[in-house]
This record gives sequence, structure tokens and C-alpha cells, in this order.
Amino acid sequence: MDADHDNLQLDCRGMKCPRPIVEIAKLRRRESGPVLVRVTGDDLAFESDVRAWCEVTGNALKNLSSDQGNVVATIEFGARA
Amino acid sequence: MALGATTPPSPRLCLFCMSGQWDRLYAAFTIANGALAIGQEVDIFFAFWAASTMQSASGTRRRGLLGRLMGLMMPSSVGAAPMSHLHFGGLGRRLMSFVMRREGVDDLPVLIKQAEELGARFHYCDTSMRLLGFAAPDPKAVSGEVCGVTTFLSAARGAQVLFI
Repeated sequence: MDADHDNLQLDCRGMKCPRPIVEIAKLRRRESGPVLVRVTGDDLAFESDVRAWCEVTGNALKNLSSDQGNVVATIEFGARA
Repeated sequence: MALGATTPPSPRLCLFCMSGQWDRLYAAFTIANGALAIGQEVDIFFAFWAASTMQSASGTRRRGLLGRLMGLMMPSSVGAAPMSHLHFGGLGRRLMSFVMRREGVDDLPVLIKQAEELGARFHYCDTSMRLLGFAAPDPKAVSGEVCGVTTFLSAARGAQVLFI
């Protein structure tokens, strides 16, 4: 993994379903990958939806942590075919 | 490639919107946005009351006296579409908008615009539009095409279909 591409951040705090997932998908479309992205969200649906998005789209969910109502998901966008 | 997808393409999503009620359209467009975000192609078919609300909102005119009378009795914008419960002559609907702003939930016009930007295709039932008195829509003002049942059936083949 290229270190320069290791620090993409996406702040989805304050956004409610379906917005965070739409924002992740928009970022995915801009990045040709592979790249690591840290996404922060505080919607109650965020954790469950981020898991589902990664599973359906085939992008790897590397880490998921929560801290005081904020959930931080680290996603590795796969290389594009 | 479809938005967000790295794996083989997901099945397409085909929404059939019949109801022009605000809450049903809200559900339809929330699902459409989610589907686009997971890389599905999305076709949305609007018939009857859904077609009426969407076309009125886009400024499509109604023909003749009967058409204009219908227009007076139906919502002229997405924001004016009634809720199926707690509408209270529009008071409940306004309250809902207030709560949505407070909670940071995207309102229906935002979801519609976002779905369009992400590539959802809109289709309008020709017969519904005639029965509800609409003239042909202005292609510059309204995105999507006017079509018949066969177009819907063709899009629905091999797709996930939801009737809302």
C-alpha cells in the first residue's frame, strides 16, 4: 500500500441514512484504488450499513471501532478491474 | 462501471412507484439511493399518482379543462405531496420537514436530485399521464422518458422489482 494513499478521510458525522453510504460510494467512484479510507459516522445505522456496503461491493472492511457514539470504519478500496 | 462496485455487477433494481404519497416516494428514493451506492443500476417507473406528483413537480402542464381541474386537486410539488398518516391538511407534513431538518435527514427533493446524479433512470407511464390530463413533458425540464408497460417488463427481467 502506497503510504501517500494511506490517509483518505471521510467525515460523515451528522449525516443520516442513506447519505453516508452514498458519500462513500461517490468517493469510491473518484478513487481508482487500491487505497485505505477512514470513514467516521454517528448515525445509528452507520455501522450496519458500512458492513453491508463493503460486503456487497467487495471492498475490504479492515477495521471498525466506536468511540463515544462515533463509529470509525477503515475500508480498503480494492483495485479496479 | 456502476458506482462503487468492484465485484461482479449486482442485479439491477427496478422500482414501480404507484403512490404519490410523500412517505412512499421518500421510501422509494431512499432505497434507490442505497441501491446506487452499492453499485446497482436503478430504473424507476412512475405510474398514476406517483407520475402525477413527479410531473407536476417538474412543471409539466395539463391539457384542457378536465386536466386543469385535476391539477387543482392534486399536489403541485413533491413538497406538497400528502403523507399517508398524520397529514392533518398539510400541518403534519410541515412538522415532518421541520423534524427532518433538525435531525439532519435529507428531504425528498435532495434524494431525488441525488438519485438522478448517481444515474437512476426515470420512466413515466404514458397511459397514466394521459388519464391524468398531462401534455407531453418538456424533455428539457423533465429527466427520463415516457413509456409503456413493455418497457417496464423489459427492465424488470432479471432485476429486483419493488412495487411501492
